Amino acid sequence: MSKADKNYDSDKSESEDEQQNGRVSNKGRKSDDNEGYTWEGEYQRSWDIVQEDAEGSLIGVIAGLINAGKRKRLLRDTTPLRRGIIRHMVLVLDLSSAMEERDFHHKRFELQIKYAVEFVMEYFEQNPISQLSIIGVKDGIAQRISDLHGNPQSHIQKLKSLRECNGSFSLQNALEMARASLSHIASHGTREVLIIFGSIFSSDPGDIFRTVDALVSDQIRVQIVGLAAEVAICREICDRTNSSSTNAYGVVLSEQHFRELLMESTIPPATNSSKTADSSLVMMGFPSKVIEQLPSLCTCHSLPSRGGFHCPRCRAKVCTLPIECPSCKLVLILSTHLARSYHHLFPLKNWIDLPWSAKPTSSHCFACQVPFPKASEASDQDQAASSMRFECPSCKLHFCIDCDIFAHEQLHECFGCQCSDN
Amino acid sequence: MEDFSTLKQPTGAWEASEEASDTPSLLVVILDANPASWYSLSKRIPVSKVLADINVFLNAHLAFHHDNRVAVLASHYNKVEYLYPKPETEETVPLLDSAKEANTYRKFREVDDFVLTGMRRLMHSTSSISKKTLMSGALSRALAYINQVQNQKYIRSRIVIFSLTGDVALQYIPTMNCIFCAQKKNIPISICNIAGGTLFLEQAADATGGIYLKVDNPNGLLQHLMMTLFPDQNLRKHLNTPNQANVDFRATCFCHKNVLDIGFVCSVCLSIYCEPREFCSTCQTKFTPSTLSKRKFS
Repeated sequence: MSKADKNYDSDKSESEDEQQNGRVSNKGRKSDDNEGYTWEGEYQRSWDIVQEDAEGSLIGVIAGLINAGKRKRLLRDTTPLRRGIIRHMVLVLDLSSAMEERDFHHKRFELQIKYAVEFVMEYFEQNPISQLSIIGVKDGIAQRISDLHGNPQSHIQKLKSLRECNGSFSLQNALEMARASLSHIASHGTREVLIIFGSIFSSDPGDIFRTVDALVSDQIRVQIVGLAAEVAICREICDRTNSSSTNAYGVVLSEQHFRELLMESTIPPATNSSKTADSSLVMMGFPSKVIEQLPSLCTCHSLPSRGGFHCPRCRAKVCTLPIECPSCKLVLILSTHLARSYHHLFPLKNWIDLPWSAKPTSSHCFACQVPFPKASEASDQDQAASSMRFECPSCKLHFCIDCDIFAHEQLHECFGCQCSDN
Repeated sequence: MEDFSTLKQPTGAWEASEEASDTPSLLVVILDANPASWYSLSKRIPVSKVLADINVFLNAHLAFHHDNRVAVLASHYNKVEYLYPKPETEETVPLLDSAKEANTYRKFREVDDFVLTGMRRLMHSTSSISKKTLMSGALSRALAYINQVQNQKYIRSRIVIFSLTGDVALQYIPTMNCIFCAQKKNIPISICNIAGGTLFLEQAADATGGIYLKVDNPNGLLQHLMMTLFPDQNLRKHLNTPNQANVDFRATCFCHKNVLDIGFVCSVCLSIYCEPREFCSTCQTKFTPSTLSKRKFS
């Protein structure tokens, strides 16, 4: 009887413990809701997610995790917004001693240069008629690394020749130099500054809030990518200069996140509704290619070549496009350069992930012919789970997840809508 | 020591060429199946002869390396179909001529049968005459197929288009998107233009590093194919391939469809006009007169 009592007691104490644990964890979550810190709540056991199936293998679980990762691809807002296509951006690099830290792969400085090179290439690919200038801040002084122009190769060469980091960072000097570079830009182009901010302080010669006021009146938008921690002045600058969005300031969590934050800036920004008065017709030239018998010098680099493009207004020969004609300052482009920006203006709609409850009948992906998983006969199949079929709302055809990612990130076209006669 | 360095060089070149010829490649062929264009071609040369030449070209690609793969798409005026490979649920196509079956290599037989019966089926199923073809749809499906194959294991790929019909203006933006995607993935798009003329596909070949071949006399089609379009990217640098001297990249204005040297581009929607105007017809933006007055077109 005493044993039974003991058992009974121990059972009761277990249930009490569970209740107490439940209460503790509830309290932890509640304090999270009330702006508590994550270390004050219950700890999370991330290894519980991975569970073995009946035979003790992990294959199905791993495949499920990979698919869940693919589906978590950012579903961007696909409303066609008015965007600034002709962009003028100043990239500010941090060359202060804070970049000598080794918390990223080798040093922060090397990672910054590597991602800056990738950023330059992606920026000119997505925005071929735009221009970029690069500024570096070292020893509290801002130095111009490359001028505002549209040739990616010379930017990359200058980036690769940077060597050392020293001194402290100065936000005000960087912003003032950027403002001076962007002051003569016509109103139909965007004016942007992207700062990579590795330290947590800034040594400024004067009142930075005056600089921020000047930036706002010049309609310059500033985006900052922080590498260390969130700094209040950066938040202030980004919120005041970007009146429409609050995610202009980001602090990196990992190397991958750093790259993602940088690449977000390659997408043309949405224009404010107040800026519609600034749109205008820009005169541009569309030269045709010529091949000559004898080599001649090009006006842009003074290098001999046997072919090139003739400016339609002044007949000067240039060797690469897009470029501003060195003689008459006409913007020379090919129609393909304009076509590169169309997918920003007419984005592809997101596709709907079909659950099993929609009873889909398709057997193969329309685009690549990969077979879809069949509906199993068992009645306990989760009706709300995804059937790995993605439907386009316009043409109602089904695609697999790889084609979904391919269409939305690389091709920007729906295969089904293009293959139907409408 | 200098003598030894010259001995090293030939082995280096040998290794490089061996690597180039040992890797398999994927060829995706897009056939323009617009029946009206084939009919006008049949006045010059029978359709069966042209299809036979194309089949020999496909077989030669398969014969070049054991792991070479091929895929064929047909672009009709209202749909795009995979002729080869067919998904398993479709009924297997009956063989055309059983007498030849025993002596032909099985892979060649499959491809030939599927292509010929598929084209025949498409031609018979035509219900109306139309002058267009869904080239952008076929290109996008070809790119999806290549993407899916490359996800499993990387294989060098290229696309060859047999075009007979002209351009469809509405397909300009989708075709451009496909071209930029192929450029990024290093997939050359080569064009064999048997009849008609097409401007978008010329730009495609130029932008992706492919070859644009205009065939004047379809009787010699096989010769053209084997000499020019058959070698893939690695072998092309050792051969003299035809290049395009005069690709016309000039734009046409949205209002009159004139070809322009100098145009006015709306900064919001990128539509091109031949003369300054007060508002953009595509996006309804009003242009301020102060900026317009500076734009005197001399």
